[in-house]
Amino acid sequence: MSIRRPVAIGIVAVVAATSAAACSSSKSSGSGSAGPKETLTIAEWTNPGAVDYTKALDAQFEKAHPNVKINFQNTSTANGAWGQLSNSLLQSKSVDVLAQFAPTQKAFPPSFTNIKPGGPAALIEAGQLVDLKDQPFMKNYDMTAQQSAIGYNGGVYGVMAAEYAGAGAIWYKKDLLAKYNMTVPTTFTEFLADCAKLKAAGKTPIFLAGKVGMQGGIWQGIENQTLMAGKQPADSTQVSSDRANAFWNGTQNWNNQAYKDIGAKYQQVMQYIEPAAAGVDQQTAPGLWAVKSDDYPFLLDGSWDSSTILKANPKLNVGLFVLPGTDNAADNRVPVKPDLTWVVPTSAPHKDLAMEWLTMFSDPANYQNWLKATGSMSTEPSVSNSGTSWMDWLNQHTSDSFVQLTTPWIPQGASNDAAGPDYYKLAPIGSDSLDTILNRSASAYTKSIGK
Amino acid sequence: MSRCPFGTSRTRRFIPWASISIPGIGWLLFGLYPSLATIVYSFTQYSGLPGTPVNFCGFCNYTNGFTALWGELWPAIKTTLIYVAGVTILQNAIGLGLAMLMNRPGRSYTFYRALIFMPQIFSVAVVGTTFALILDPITGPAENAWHGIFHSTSAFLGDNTLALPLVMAVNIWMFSGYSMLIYIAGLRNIPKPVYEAAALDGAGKWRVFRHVTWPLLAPATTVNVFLTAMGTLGEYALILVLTGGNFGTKTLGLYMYDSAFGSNAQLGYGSMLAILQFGLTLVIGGGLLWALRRREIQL
Repeated sequence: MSIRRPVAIGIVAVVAATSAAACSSSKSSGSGSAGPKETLTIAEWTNPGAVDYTKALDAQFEKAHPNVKINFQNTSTANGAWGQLSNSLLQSKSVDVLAQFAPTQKAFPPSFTNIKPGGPAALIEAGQLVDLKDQPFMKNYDMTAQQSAIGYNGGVYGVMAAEYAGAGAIWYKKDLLAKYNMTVPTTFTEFLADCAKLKAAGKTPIFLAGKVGMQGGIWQGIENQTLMAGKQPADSTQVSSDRANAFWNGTQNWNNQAYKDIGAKYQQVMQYIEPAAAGVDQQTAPGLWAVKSDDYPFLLDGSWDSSTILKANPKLNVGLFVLPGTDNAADNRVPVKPDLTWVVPTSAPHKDLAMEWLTMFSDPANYQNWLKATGSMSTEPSVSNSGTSWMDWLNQHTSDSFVQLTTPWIPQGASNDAAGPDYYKLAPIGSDSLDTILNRSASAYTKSIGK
Repeated sequence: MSRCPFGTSRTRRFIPWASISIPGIGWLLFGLYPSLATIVYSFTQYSGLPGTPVNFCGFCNYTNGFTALWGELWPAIKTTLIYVAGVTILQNAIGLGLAMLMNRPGRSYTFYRALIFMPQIFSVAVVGTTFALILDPITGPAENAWHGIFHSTSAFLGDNTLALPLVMAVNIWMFSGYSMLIYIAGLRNIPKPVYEAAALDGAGKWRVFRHVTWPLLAPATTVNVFLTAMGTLGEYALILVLTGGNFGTKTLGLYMYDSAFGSNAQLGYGSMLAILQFGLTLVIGGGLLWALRRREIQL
């Protein structure tokens, strides 16, 4: 019968294909010394320095483990690409070591808020990430910092490998400042005076990528230093938590005097930015700033962009400091943002190898190179990011740095206004006044928590 | 038992079923299942991450959206309506204008038609990135032109008043070639004797267009307006690449994408927005079809 023949052929083909798939499957998952390789999958977002270093470490790992092949994946964080890659790797249960942004304690709101965690915090709460607390390599790290970055109920669910000066971090052109007899400013008034002097000399003092809201760094820098004034660095988590509680209880809100003062300072700084900064993208800002060596003395950008800046103009003599947000130099400390954190999903096909890779990563000699490549501040107490010329100011000010304050708890899907001022609408980027913006934020916050 | 090239008559009865079963299974898996899952998820608090719990919360997402989060939802709906109306009207006007110009024989017109249609085949990411570079206020060529004309600077996609019109312009640039092709097909279906009769009656170009071409293009207009409106209602990718939804460009589609798949995503709330968008599509699409079909019948 003519129909039976194709069916029979089809069955044979399916059986053959299944057998072939089974063979290849056993090949890829098998281990042994005679050839079959195991594939360790590692993924992180694209930060040029971090990607270059991870590839080098992967090569080192493959050399030490001849039967292991590393499948390294990375993509940009722009346009949600990283989120898509990360989620699809988790869905397919194929990733062994995955980079995540440190959720910090803000991501675990108290039960009375009835807010469900999202992102990596949701994975931790659901038991989808391996607790690394007792892993031998964790002894290399500052456990208080790790707990604060990715700790939950006594466990530590990742290795926070990079933390950066984020809020208020400013890159500066050393030669340009020297030309005008300036040193790194230590107070807010001094910073404004420098900007005024540079503007009078025909320069545009500050460059930033306003299209992605980098101007928020000015606000956050001033806010962090103001709210932490007179407090110990170790108190920052408590300060964040107290503020979140105060907002939740209604004793604080965005239109309080403290935020009006911060906003007034923000607007003073913003008068010195590049007039068209609102249309500048973060993808191009560091490179553009670096190649224009005779203008834009300051770039508002986190220390994570060191590699991009130095690649764009290797001859540029740059440094980095944090915007002094108050007139008391002692209060103008560095807020540090916990950033790239390696996690191992419970669904990882090669957990033991993942731990070996993290062990190699955490080796102080390797970690030193990671710091150099990424421009990150060290999370291993025995290692410091020394020998990098642009980090001279930062190295002198890390001892009293504190973990960047987090915003109050807000429900998922809440309006952007609820999380704080909308920097896109606030003048001079937008056209709304400070009072309008703060009142709108206060109202949005109150509504978002259903009060 | 009779024999036929495709088996016995008994087995032949199953061939149609076998033929539709493959696309049918595809539709069930990739069409019906996700749609039903979206409805179910819209009643949950769920992050969408694998292994995380799905907590049923009744109408919590709907209640939140229309009360506490109305401040975010309403601007997104408003922007969507402006976006859909602006793009649909302008794209069709430009598409029709181009069709009138390009509906001529000759190789050069074939080349121009292909050129105008070409942006349609580019990916949204390529078009978005290209225009983002053109509209870069520091290095983009648009800045030179702007400065030359207005003697001032502009942030273009970072300007709260310009961003939405610019995104709409890019959308129109990308898809007006498609509208043009449909209108050309419509123009070619208009019988020539009608034009000859109009010419004998002494009708000028404008009168011919108003009383002959435009009414007889009604079917093409229906298709074009409906397709443009439906395509624009769900648009988010181009906006995401150009502005990230900032500067007053966040549409409902982008708000949904952000909520469902952004950082700290909540698929439950995002699914509720998808249902809302479905409702909006149904109302606008249904309304447009009803009005346009009615116009066709009247004409």
